[in-house]
Amino acid sequence: MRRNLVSALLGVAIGIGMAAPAAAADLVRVASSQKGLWDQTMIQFGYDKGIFAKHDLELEILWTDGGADAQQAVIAGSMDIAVGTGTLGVISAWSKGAPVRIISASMTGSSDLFWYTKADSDIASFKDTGGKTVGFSRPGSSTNLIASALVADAGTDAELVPTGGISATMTQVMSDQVDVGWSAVPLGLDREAAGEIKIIATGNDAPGVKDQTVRVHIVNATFLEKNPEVVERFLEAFQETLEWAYGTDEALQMWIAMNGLELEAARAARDRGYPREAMELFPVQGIDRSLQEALDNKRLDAPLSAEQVEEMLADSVKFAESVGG
Amino acid sequence: MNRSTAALRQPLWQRWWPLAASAALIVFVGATLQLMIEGGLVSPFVISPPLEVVRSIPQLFLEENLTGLFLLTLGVTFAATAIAAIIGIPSGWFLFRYREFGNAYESWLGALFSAPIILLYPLFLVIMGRGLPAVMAMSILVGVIPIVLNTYNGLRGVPKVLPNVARSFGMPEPQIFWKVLLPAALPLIFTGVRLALIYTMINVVAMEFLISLGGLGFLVGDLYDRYELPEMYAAVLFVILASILFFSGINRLERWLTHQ
Repeated sequence: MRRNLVSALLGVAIGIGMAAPAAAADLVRVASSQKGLWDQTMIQFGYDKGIFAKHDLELEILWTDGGADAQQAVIAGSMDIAVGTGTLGVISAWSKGAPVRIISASMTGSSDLFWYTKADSDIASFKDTGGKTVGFSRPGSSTNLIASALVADAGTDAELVPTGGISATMTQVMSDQVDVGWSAVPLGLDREAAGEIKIIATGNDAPGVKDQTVRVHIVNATFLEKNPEVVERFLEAFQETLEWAYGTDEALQMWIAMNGLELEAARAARDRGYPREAMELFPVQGIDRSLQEALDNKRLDAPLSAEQVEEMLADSVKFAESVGG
Repeated sequence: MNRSTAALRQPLWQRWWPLAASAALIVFVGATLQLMIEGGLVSPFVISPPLEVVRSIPQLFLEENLTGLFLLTLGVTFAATAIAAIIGIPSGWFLFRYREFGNAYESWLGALFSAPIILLYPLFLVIMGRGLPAVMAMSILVGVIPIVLNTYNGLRGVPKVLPNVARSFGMPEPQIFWKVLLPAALPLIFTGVRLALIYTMINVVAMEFLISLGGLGFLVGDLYDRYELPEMYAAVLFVILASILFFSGINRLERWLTHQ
């Protein structure tokens, strides 16, 4: 009788144990912007592939209008991590005491950005832009800084004009309102293939830009303090996503579904605009140049000391050691 | 007894009460926000403490050319509203005078009034270039619609007995318009101008923000990008100040015209 009772209780206990749900994955709220661009959409590719789930992470992805909005969502605490936000904006917010930490690089160099003219233009390079107009998105943006550097390097008197987003810029170039426009891979490459435009420079042609981390991944400081192990797993999953995205064509197929490119064109666009080395998570590079640009563009009130810079990058250095890559 | 004499005969507290009540509300809201931020209920990285916002104002004048940008937004808004009025009031009269057109176009104008015309800004940039003409053209378009509609409805709403009496005294038609119809329709026409001002101002600031060009809208966007939050909120205060100045000006103009 007693044995039966024990067996019954044991059975009930096992049944309850089996019926109980497995421990829930950790939820991470991630903000990103510019859905459709290869680097910014990487988070979605990895999530759809199930890589983050493999690391016991559930993602809630929010697409914002731009990097500044994604950063503000992290600062406000409504999102935990923002991927691919502008380095200068983060430096500015961090220096003013905002609860935000840099956890890794996102994009080093600006091979994704390019400047172009109409195919029949007599401009072959930035050396020919004397007396011409050169577009950038908006004052203080990375396109503004790079366009300024390209013009300065060419030594011409080209006039820099804010032309807004990629589509608006393309329209202004094709309707002869602006001589040189800007775009980001893959947008506009179809026009280049069709012989309608010609590319005269990429972002990496500007001196010093190739080795400068222009976008970073950031985290809310409180979230990092409470969940350092979750952030580490997030970066491990991101690292694995990158390996998979460059090691197979699966992510390219996902990208193609978004942009309507052919496989080979997509591969060429990826390798041209987002070479694997540009997307290394570690280290954050060219910080001196970024700090100088932040100062020049009033994003910093005063230069940061060496200790402050070290403190600002401390988490990314720590994760470089634990996550590697 | 004119209005200003009547105002002087009011007790002092009645004359100053609206201003005092407005100031008290601003102080109350500001103090509440300040306490909420200091108490940790609201993050200072989302909403800047009001005291910091006030303290940042001199910096805007010294380093950000606030005076120039403020005057630019004010000037563009004023010019766009004035041009909208110059186009809109005669257009409203035309629809009133030729009822067939009024009947045909009133519903179209009503639909256009509620349409988010700001979404057409890329089209305006393409047609007019990325500059002040595009901002002006869009602002005039959004401003002219309420003025046309209100002029039309104001003139239609004038009791028929008024022009009929004028005609019975042999008043010529142009005089009936200037001396009878227009003054009677004036309150509704000014409602249209006020609405035009609101829409024009929103449009001007939004366009400045979107295309990084011009006055206060550009400044707000720039400060946001630079993460200068107290300065950004201070710039927003100046957008509100511009709106207050316009409303005060229009009320005075309406009172003056009514007395004429």
